[in-house]
Formats: sequence, structure tokens, C-alpha cells
Amino acid sequence: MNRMPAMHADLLTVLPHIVLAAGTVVALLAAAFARRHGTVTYVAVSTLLFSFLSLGILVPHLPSGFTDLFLFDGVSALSSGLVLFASLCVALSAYPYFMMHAVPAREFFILLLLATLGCLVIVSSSHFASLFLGIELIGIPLVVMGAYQRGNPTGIEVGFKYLILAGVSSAVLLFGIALLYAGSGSLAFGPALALLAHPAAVTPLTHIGAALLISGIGFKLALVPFHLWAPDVYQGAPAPVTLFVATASKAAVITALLRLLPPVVVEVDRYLFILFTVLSVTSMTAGNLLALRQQNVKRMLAYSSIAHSGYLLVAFLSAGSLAFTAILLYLVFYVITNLCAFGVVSLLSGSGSDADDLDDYAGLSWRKPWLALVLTISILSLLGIPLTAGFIAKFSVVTAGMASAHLALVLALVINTAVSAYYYLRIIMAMYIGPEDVLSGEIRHSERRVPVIGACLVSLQAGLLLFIGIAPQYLLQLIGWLVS
Amino acid sequence: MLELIPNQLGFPLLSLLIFVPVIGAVVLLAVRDARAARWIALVFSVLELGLCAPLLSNFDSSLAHMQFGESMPWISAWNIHYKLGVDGISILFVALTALLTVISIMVSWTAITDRVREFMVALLFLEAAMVGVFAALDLFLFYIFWEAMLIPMYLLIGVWGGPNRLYAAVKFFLYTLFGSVLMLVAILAVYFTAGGTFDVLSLMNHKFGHTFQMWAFAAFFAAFAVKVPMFPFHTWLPDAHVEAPTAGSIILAGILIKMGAYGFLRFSLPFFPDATMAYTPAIMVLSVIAVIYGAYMAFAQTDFKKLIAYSSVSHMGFITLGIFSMNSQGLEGGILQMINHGVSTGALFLGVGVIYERTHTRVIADYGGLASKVPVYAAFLMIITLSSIGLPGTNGFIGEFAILLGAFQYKAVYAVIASLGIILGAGYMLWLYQRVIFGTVTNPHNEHLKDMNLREIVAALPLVVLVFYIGLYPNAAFQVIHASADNLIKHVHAKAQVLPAAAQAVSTLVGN
Repeated sequence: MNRMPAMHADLLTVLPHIVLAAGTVVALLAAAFARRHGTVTYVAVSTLLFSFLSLGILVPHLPSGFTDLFLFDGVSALSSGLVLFASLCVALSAYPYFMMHAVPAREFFILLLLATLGCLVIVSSSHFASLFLGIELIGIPLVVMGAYQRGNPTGIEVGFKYLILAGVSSAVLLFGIALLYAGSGSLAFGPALALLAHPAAVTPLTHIGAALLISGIGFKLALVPFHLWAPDVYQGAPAPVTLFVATASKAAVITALLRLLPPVVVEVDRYLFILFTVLSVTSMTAGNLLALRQQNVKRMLAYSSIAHSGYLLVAFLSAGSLAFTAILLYLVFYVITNLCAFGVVSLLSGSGSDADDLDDYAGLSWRKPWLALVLTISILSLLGIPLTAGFIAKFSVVTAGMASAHLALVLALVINTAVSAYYYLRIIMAMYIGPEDVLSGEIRHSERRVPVIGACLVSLQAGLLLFIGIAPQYLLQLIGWLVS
Repeated sequence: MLELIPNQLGFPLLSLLIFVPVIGAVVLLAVRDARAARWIALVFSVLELGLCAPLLSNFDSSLAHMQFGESMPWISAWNIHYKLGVDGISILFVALTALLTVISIMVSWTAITDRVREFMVALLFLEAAMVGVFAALDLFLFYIFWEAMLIPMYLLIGVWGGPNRLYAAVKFFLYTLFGSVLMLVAILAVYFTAGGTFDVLSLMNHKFGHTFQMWAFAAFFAAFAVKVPMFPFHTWLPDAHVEAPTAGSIILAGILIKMGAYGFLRFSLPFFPDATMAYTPAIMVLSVIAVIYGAYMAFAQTDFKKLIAYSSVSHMGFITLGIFSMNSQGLEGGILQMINHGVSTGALFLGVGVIYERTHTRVIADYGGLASKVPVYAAFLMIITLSSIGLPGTNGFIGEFAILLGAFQYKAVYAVIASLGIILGAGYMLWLYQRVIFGTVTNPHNEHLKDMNLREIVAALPLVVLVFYIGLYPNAAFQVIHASADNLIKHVHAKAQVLPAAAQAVSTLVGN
């Protein structure tokens, strides 16, 4: 195959993976010998940092491949960067979180590193074998991470739910892969893509394979009707785990979808087009409608993320470079915004249950004005109000849809946006309502100090959201440069 | 046709007008003390008002072109520019925005005691966005400012509003957002149809297909009609007004609802002249309904603010009636009446605010006999009431007269029905005045009412001056408006084609 001449160039492709894998081993050793929680945290954080920095070495040599299994291109670089940034934030917010809950956190960081490695494998995979490997590498650690607080019964429930989800989706995915293999005779992405790009040559069996593949990925993305696990897992999992599920693992799966079924293919194939349209519209509509009545913020954000997956699919349904850019923009917006929103939730969570009831946010702007502002920015970004990254992302998706003349889809998107304002505003309202309302509500977390690093991180993320919203040209240039 | 005349002042005046309030808001974030916050906000808003002096004095009213132009690429990947400019249609609104913001800050001086800093920050951000809406000449930029107004206004109502503020704030937000997102789709449709440009001036010269115009006009209409608000999209307005703090009501009535009408003038008419012609009969009918219905509802109100809110619905009906008369009298009258309504309704809400701060009631029946207790206030309210009615010698007369002239030329029956609205307006406003000011004091709480203090008089004075200035010397305002309005009406008539069959069907449907 396309082997690079020198061995070291090959290895360069998987440098971020190697760094992560090596770091995991070091973390394992550290967990065994150094009994302090802090040591493992340091190892994990520096591993993630080094892996992030190693992207810098790799980027000038893009795209580069490693055997048939891996292809590291600009899209992989962008998603890897996002995934590593997200994991870093998860690690930094997990340490104070577990300290406060008096749960030994050493093993958590090892699992986190493994799951991150899984994400990296997915975003650079060019072969069904490596894709499946990556998906399992995310799924198994997440089962344990979800149930990490053994004393907490909902934790066990979350672990089980995620286990069943991972099992079912893997089974569906594998069957889909098998059917596609039957059609194309290869497990690499290339032949399967080439097969789907010519609708005339596609057999029904291949279509069923593609549909199963999409269903498997739909489970991971929590598209309606594969979404039933998401609200429970988002709500029940410890806040840092929710953070990971909502950002890193989702970004990885979206990237895989982009690799497998780029907008061009979806546009060409009629069956895929119908399937994606149905998934898109039902996801955004059901997600938003179900979010309207939620009293639990984590659950509300879970439904909101379902709706956002639906919005994103509009870009997959569109053609041209606009659609490609829109998906990547959306990815960046989505990860940073959710990091910010769930990051604040995680910071506010006290030693008892997580701060996830809407009442916990009543009058937050009095108690913690800065965090309230940060959360407001991230909520506005989710809603897609101008001057935040959310607007730019949504705008680019709508633009892509309009350019392909999918007027009905675009209308569904914007009407859903107007509907979603209702529940996003409920969170903002709760934070800013008057003092007389606060007094009746229980001020649970008012006296606790917020960890400085966490506060800095969410502030940085909120700043990024505003920066992208005001000056998106830099991000657009970066995306253009990475893709070309 | 329309050109952008580059700014020749040596400093970017329009950008300053947008960013001075933003800077003020940022400075405020560093302040904790409520007193200091009030003064800083006042200083920045007065500075902003001062900047309107070079704006008005350097404006060449003989030209219809966009002046004080600024343009630079912003997001080149999507061909988006940071492009500003004002003409005779928009310039007065920039000035009015600056004036009403100063007044809003002054009337909130003692009325807002809670989270003063945040209040002022919201007000200043709102001001920046409003100026931006009037100055933007790039559709994307316009949309950014348009949406950016939502959040501060939402917070003004939702945080500092009355008891039912949450409901009112959400209703305001959802109604407006729903209109805006449809407009966004239309903006993108325009962008792609015109070959990838958001530039307002070049879009004005682009000829869109007839069917496209009909759809795009409808989508823009969704945003603007909610904002105006036109009957039957008006239901958010009474709620928002009743719950909003005085400053919020002044801004809402004075500027925000003018933006709908401004949107028609700046975008709908020049972009889609065919569709404008086709929809005009329907819009005229809606306008007349709004005039009568608003007045009718105003009679039934027991709440001071709600009465004024419904009177706004009625008056805004006049304004759309004038604009869609499609002749220069109606159009210029409509634009002038937008300014007038901003002045007099802003003053009316100021009047409500002044008295509400003392009595904490808006129920009209709780008042009565105030003339003997608060004579200055009674005089002020008298002037504003007369201006709102449109008595000759006040600003309201000029605007309504010009609108009726225009409407008469379009179709006499509309002018006749609309003049009925004027009579009704005189009815409910005078009745209101009588119930509040005349008679004997029935409510013991009002026995020791204090009259307007110096701060309130200073805040109210510019509006009173404007009432008479425009009323006695309307030419000053007409001169500014004339060239641009005239150009617009010629542009629309020149660009519009002969009514095709579909449009005629619409016309006959509404009984033209």
C-alpha cells in the first residue's frame, strides 16, 4: 500500500497515540507505586499535554498514513486537538471533584487516558478494524467511569445502561460492517465509500449494511430513535464523566461519520439521504420538545445535545465545501460550548449530589456572578445567539443547507432553534431572577470555594466562544488550511 | 444607485457611536459602587449624545446617499463586510437612540436600586446594538446587531421588571426570535440568489425574480411585523411594556419597535419592490385594523402602561399605513411619525415612571386630582398627551397629517378610517388625562405626592422641546428625511414591474 519510505515517518503518524499509550502505562505504574492521588493526576495531565503538543510535530507532515489502518489528515488533527483539549479539561475538573467526594481517583485517570486513546484511534482510522477497535476502547472504560462512585446507586445504573448501549451498538455496527464488506470486499473505508458513491451499483444488501452502520453510530450520537440512554447517562454519571461523554467521545464519533459518509456521499445516495433526513428532523424536534419540561439541567442539556446532533446532520445532507467546513465548525463550537456548560455544572457540584436541579441555579448571578456569566455565554452559544461561536456554527450549517436548496430542512432547523430558546432561557432566567426568589430557594453551594483551575478553564472556554463569535475568520482559516 | 460616501471626518464616527457604549459597559464592569455606576453610565451616554452633534451637522441632507461610510472586510470566507453608513432615513434614529438612552439612565437614577451596575451595562449594550442596527449596511452585520438587542432587552424586562416579568420577557424573546430566524433564512436566500453578497447597497440594485420576492418578502415580514408590532402579531407588546422597568419601556417604545418599520424601509421595499406592490393592499388593511383595534383596546384598559401600549399599536398602524401608501407624503410622514412616536411615547412612559416611582401603582383608578398636588407633572403630561393626540402645533399633528395625505392618495377609504383612529385617540388619551389629573383626590396615598424633581424635569425637557420644535418647524426634520425618502419611493416605482397575475389575485382577494 501507500507505505512511506522511512519507518520513522510511519511512526510519526501515530505519535499522539504512542504518547498516550506510554502515558497510560506510566500512570498505571504510578497508581501502583505512588499512593498519592495527585501523582496520577500529574501523569495524566502531562500525558494529555504532550500528546497535544505532539500534534504540532505531526501537522506539517499531513496527511500521513500508517499501514492500512490509520490515516492522519487535517480533519484528524482538528478533532484530535479538540478531543485532547476536552480530556485535559475533564482531567482537571475530575481531580477536585473526586477529592470532594472522597473517592480514590487514581484509576479514573487511567480509564480517562484509555478512552481518550480510543477517541484518537477513531478520528484517525481509515479501516473498519481500527474504527471498531477505537469504539470499543472508548466504550469499555466509559462503562467503568460511569459507575465509578460505587456508593452511588445511580452510578451503577449508568454503568449498566452504557454497557448495554455499547454492546448493542457494537453488534449493530459489526453487522453493518460485515454487510458492507460483502459488497466491497475490503475492510478499508476507501472501497466502501467508492461503492456507495455510485448508487447504480449498490445492492440492497449494501444499503442495509450502511443503514446498520449509521444506526450503530446513531446510538453513539444519541440520534432519535437511538437516544434513550443519553438523558439517563448524562444525568446519572458523575459530572466529569458527563463532560467526557458529551464532548470528546461525541467529537470522535462525528469525525468517524464524516470519514465514513462525507456529505457528498449522503447527497448522492437517495436511501441514505432519506435516512439522514428522518434522523435529523426527528432528533432536533424530539430533542427540543423533550427538553422543554425538564427540571434537571444535566438532563436538559442531554436533550439539547440530541437536538444539536440533528442540526449537525443538516450539514451532512448538504453538498460542497461549505458543508464540510460547516461540520468542522460545528464540531469546534459543540465541543467548546459543552465543555463550558458542563464544566460550570461540574464546578458547582458540591459534595452531595451534582448541581443539576434548576433550583440550584436560582440566583446564581448573586452568589457567583462570574460563573453565571460564563454559563450564560455557553447557553447563548448553544442557542446560537450572535457574537457567540454557536451562531457562527449554526449560521454555517444553515448556509450549507441553503446552498444545497434544502429549504424544508433549514426551516425545520430554525423553527427548532426558536423552540429551544424556551428551555435555554429557563436556565438563564433561573440564574438572574430577583433576590426575593432566591431566598425561598435553598442556597446550597454558596459558601464553597470554586477550584481556581476549573474557573480559569471555563473562563477560557467562554472567551474562546466569544472570540470565535466575533472573529470567526481565524478559525475558518485554520480549518481551510487543515483541510487543504 | 445609492452610493456609500466615505467618512471624511478624520475619525470613524459611526464606529465610535457603536463602540462608545460598549467601552462604557466594559468600564462599568470594573465598578462595584452603585452611585459610581450611575455616573459612569450617564457620562458615556452623554458622550454618545455629544457625538451626534458632528453626525447631524456634517450630514448633507441634499444627498440621498449613505454618508459617513466605513467599510472593511470582516469574514472574507463568506464575503462579509463591516460596512456602516447612514442616510436621511436612519440618521435621526441614531440621534433619537442616543437621546432616549440618556433619558432612560436619568429616570432610572432612583427607580433602580438593585444591581445598578448590571442594569447600566445592559442599557449601554442595548444602545450599541440599536445604533448598529441603524448603521449597518451589510445584512449579516445587521442581523448580528438585530439579534444582539434581544439579550439586554430580555434581561431588562426579566430582571428589573414587574411581578409577571418572566412571562413577559420570555414572550418577548420567543416572538422576536421566531421572526428573526425566518428572516435569517431569507437573508441567506437573498445571499445565494444575488450571487454571494450581503452588501445592502448592491442588493438594492439586484433584480430578484417575482416568485422569489414574494417568499423573501414574507420571511422578512415575519421579523419586521412582529417587531413593529403589526396586528395580529402585537400580543407580546402590552405584556412587555407593562412588566418592563420605565427605562425598558422608553427604549422599547421609542426605538425597538421602530426597527420593524425601519426594516421595511431599508430592506423590504428596495429589495422586493414587486412583492411590496403585491402585498401592499393586505398590509394597508392590517394597518387600518391596527389603528382602530389598538384605539379600541386602549379604551378598555385600567392599567396606565397597558393603555399606552395599546395606543402604540394604534400609532404604529398609522406608521405602516404611511409607509405603504407608496407615495412620498405617506412615506415621509411615516418616517417623521416614527420619530414623533418615539418622542411622545417615550415621554409618556417617562411620565408613568415618574408617578409609579412615587405611588407604586399603575392602576388608573388609583389616581385622580393630581393637578392640585403635582402641577408641574400635570403640565408635562398635558403637553405629551396633546402631542400623542396630534394637536396642531405639536409634532404628532405633522406626522399624522402627512400620513393621511399619503393614505388618501392611495385610497381615500383608508384615510377616512384612519382619521377615525385619531378621534378615538383623542378620546382615550383625554379620558386618561381626566381620570389621572382632574377631579378630586380620591386616594389618600396621593395627598402628599411630591412633584417632579430637577432630575426628572431635566430628563423630560428635551422631549418637550422636541414636541414643539418638530410641531412648529417640521421642515428641519423633513429636510433631513426628504432626499432619501424621495429616492426610495422612486427606486421602488422604477424597479417594480407591472403587476403580474398572481399579485393581482392577491389584490382582488383583499378587495382592492
